[in-house]
Amino acid sequence: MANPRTDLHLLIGAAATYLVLAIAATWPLVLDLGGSVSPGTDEPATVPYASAWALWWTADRLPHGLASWWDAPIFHPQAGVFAWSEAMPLLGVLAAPLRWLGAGPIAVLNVVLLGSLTANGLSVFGLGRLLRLSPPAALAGGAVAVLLPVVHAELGVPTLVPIWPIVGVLAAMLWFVHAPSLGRGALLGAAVAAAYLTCSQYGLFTVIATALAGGWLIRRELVQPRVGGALLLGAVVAGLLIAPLALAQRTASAEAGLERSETRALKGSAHAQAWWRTPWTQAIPTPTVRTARDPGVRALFPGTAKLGLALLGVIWGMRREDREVEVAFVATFALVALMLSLGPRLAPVYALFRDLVPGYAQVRSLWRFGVLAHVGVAVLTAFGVHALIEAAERRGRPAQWGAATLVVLAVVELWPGPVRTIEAPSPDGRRQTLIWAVAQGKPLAFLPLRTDATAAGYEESAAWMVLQPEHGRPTVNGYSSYFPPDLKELFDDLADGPSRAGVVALGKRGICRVVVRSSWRDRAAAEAESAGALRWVAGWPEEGYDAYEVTAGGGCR
Amino acid sequence: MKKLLLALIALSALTLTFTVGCSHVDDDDSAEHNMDHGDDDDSSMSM
Repeated sequence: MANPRTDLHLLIGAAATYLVLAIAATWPLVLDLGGSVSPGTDEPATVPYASAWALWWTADRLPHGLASWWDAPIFHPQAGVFAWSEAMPLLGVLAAPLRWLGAGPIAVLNVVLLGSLTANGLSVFGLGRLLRLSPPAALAGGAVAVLLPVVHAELGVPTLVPIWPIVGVLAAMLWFVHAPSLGRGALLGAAVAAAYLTCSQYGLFTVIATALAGGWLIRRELVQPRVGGALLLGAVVAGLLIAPLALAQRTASAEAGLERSETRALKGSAHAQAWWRTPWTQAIPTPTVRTARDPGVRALFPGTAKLGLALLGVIWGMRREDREVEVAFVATFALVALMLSLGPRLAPVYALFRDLVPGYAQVRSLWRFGVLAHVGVAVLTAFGVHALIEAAERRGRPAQWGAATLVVLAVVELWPGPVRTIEAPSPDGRRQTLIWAVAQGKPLAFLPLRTDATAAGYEESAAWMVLQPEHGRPTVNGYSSYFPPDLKELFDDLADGPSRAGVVALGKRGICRVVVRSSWRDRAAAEAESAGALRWVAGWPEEGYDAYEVTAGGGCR
Repeated sequence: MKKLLLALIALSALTLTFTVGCSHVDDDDSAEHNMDHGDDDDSSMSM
């Protein structure tokens, strides 16, 4: 195995190239890093806002030793809500210094996105070098990883953008089995923990897929107590790092019965057709592969040139004794992920994992196993490029130009569609409302809590989450993977206006002041519909908000 | 031997995916939206 300490200049060059690719592929996001978000292929900016808020919350709590970290200030008075969604603690910790340097939540989110795309490329580059691939092959594999279509289709779900921890687990596993030691065992454990602490779903999926593909890596010399001890150390390291998050998730899951039904999991799993669809038109027209009519539709075909090169990489690797195990491991990892993306369609496997694997029953979108298959394709593409370059070198210049063209095609064949950006809520547009909110010193509700039951219906609540660093008030509003079950009734009561029942329920939750968007309900309507349960106290017509006192439900008494 | 085993794994995976994966056919691909959040059977959202 090659020395992982690759040439520093090469690494810097790769990082710069990948950053440029990331900026180009997300253009024009970089022009307004602090003020706009990209919803990716989704319509509303709800998830980017909620993600920006989650990163801010970790940065806010870190100087306090993460005190009250689980009790994030949404869905008041529900405790422990930060475990109800992807908390992204590793990204939160890594990004916290940006916040401390004065960057706003949106700027932090966008830097994390661009940094993650760049790191995606660097991780595959590093793995390629670890696997003794030539620098151009490793560079090409990294570039493929920066532009993976499945990642760019999910740009609006920032949790799903960093695939580098998945690659990190593959690298740590290969590094470990090459020459097992306690240090490498601990590193493998840390890599698994990093994957889980970046995105719990990816972490869980990666452990499953690597465990199932790992059989290739077992050889006679590894069956000895010393190796078992190193693996045990890795398990302890991973366990210690993951335990606080996993236990909180388990407690929340047990207390509130958070679980996905099989019907829900089926909706969130891939249909075979999805594997024949691309989110955008690809450069090489390919029979049977069609472009999704809407880029937001599940589309998992990774690209014809990439697949061709990956296949070449597998054939090339399997013909070499010193490569076959590595290639077979990565290929099996991708194939296992491909199958598991089918979710309950593969009924016996789904039932087995749902029963045996903690957390499996909580996963809603099993099609995201497909992301791991794409990671495998990116790594195998690097093998293919290595083989292609080797072959082209023996065949003269025209062959080399042909090879170079194919590699470039593999990188850009599914260039992400135009990135839509949405202007994020600015404190300047709500300055007086925010000043009033700060002065209340108590939890608040910003109405409407939601306008409908889709993600778009929560965009306004998510916007108030982004502004939480400004107003500093715990809110009933919120957005999360799971919702407190008792909130549903409150949402229903307040769906068609501030009904008396809804306002009384707010009061019982300890809310004595609410802010109402005037264009949703003006003063007369709000007071009338609440049948006197709301009393107007202030308003800011130029900002479009009114504030009310809750006179029912015991909130202010 | 290793080549044969990998070929077998690949064949099984691809066959399963493109046969079993076609069950529960839904011609309307809007049913397969990446971000199909919404109030559903377990009143939960996607993230």
